[in-house]
Amino acid sequence: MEDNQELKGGSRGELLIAIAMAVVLVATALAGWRTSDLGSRASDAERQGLIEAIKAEDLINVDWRQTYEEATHAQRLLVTAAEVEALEASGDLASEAQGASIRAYLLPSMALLAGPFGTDPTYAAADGSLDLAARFNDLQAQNSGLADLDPEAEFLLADRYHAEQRWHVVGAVLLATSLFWLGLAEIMRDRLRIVSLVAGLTIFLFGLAWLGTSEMVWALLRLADA
Amino acid sequence: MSASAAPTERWRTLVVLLTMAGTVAVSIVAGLQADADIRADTANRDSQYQAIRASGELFRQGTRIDYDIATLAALTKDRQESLAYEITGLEQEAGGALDSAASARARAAVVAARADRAQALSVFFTDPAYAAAEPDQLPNQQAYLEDTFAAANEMVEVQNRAADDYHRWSRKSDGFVAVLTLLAVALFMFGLAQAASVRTRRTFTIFGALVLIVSTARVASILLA
Repeated sequence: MEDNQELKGGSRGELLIAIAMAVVLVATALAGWRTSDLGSRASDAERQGLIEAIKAEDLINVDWRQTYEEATHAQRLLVTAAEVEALEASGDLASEAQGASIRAYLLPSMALLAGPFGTDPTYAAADGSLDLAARFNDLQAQNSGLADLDPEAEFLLADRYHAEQRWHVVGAVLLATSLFWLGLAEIMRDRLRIVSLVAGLTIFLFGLAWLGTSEMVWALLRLADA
Repeated sequence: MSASAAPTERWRTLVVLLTMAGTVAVSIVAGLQADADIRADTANRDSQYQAIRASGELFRQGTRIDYDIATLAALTKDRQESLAYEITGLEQEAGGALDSAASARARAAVVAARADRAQALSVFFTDPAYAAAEPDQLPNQQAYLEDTFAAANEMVEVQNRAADDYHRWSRKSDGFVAVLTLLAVALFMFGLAQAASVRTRRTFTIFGALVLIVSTARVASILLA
C-alpha cells in the first residue's frame, strides 16, 4: 500500500517536472526569439545608419563640388572683368575696343556659368574673395533630402536595441539555467530532486521577472522617446 | 546509512555542487560572450562609419585643393607673364622701339590686373595662416596641406581605433565561445557522473572538475588580455 503511494507520489512529481520543463522550454524559446529579434533590429538600424551616412556624404560632396565648380567659373569671370577694366583704362583705342567687346559678349556668358557667385553680392566677401561656405550652406539648405538623413540617430537606436538585447541575454540564460536544473530534478531522487526542482523553478521565476521588467523598462523608454 | 553509502552520498553532493558551479559559469560566460559580440558589432559599425566619413572628407579636400592650387597656378602664370612683358618693354625701349615698348607695357598692365584680382581670390594670399610674410617669399603650402588633411587624418585615427576595438572584442567573443564548448563538456561529464556507478562517477567528476578549472582559467585570461 505504502509502496503504491510512493509510486503515485513519484509519478506526480515527475509529471510536475515534465510540465514545468515544457513551460520553461516554451518561455526559453520565446526569450531566445526576442533576443534574436532585438539583435536583428539593432543590425537593421546599423545598416540603415551606414546607408544614410553614405547618402549624406554623397549629398555633401555633390554640394561642395557644385560650389567649387561655380567658384572656378566665378574666378575666371572676376579675373576677366579685371582684365577688361585694365584694357578700358589703357588709353589705347584698340585695347579699349577689345575691352568693350569682351564686356559685351564674353562676360555675360561667363556670368551665367558662375551661377549665383556672378550675380548675388551676398557671396562676395569684404576682402574681394568668394564666400564659398555661404554658397555651400545655401545649397545644403535647399537640399531637402539631407534633412531626412540622420545616421547618428540610427546608431543611437541600434545602441538601445543592443542594450535591451544584453538584458534579454541575461534573462534567456536564466531560463536556460532553470531548464538545466529541472532536467537534473528529473534524474535525481528524493531530497536532491526536490532541491533541484525548487532551484529550477526559483531561477525560472526570477528569469521571467527579469525579462518582464526589461520589456517594461525599455517599452517606457521608447514611449518617452516618442 | 552504511559506511560505503556515506562517501557515495558525498560524491553525489559534490557532483551537484559542481553542476551548480558549471551552470553559473555557463550563465556568466554566455552573458560575457553576448556582450563581447555586441561590442564587436558596435565597434565594427563605428569603424565603417568613420571610414565613410573619412572617404567623403578626402574627396572634399581633394576638390578644395584642386581649386586652390589652380587659382595659385593661374595667378602665378599671370604674374610671370606680366613680368615677361615688362622685361620685353624695357628691352624694346633700350633698342629704341618705343611703340613696341609701350605696347608691351600696356599688355603687362593688363596681365598684372588679372594677377592682382586672382590674388584676392586665393587662400594663399587672403588667409594669414598661409600668406607669405614677405613679398618675395612663397606661401606656406606645408601649413595649408597639414590643415587641409587634419580632419581626415583625425577621422582615420578614430576609424583605426574602432577597427582595433572590433578585432579585440571579436577575439574575446570567439574565446568565450570556446569556453562555452568546454563548459558544455564539463556539464556533460557531471551529468554522466550522476548516472554512473561509484567508480566511474569519481572519474567523470574529476575530469569534469578539471575541465571546469581550465574553463575558468581561460575566462580569466580572456578578461585580462
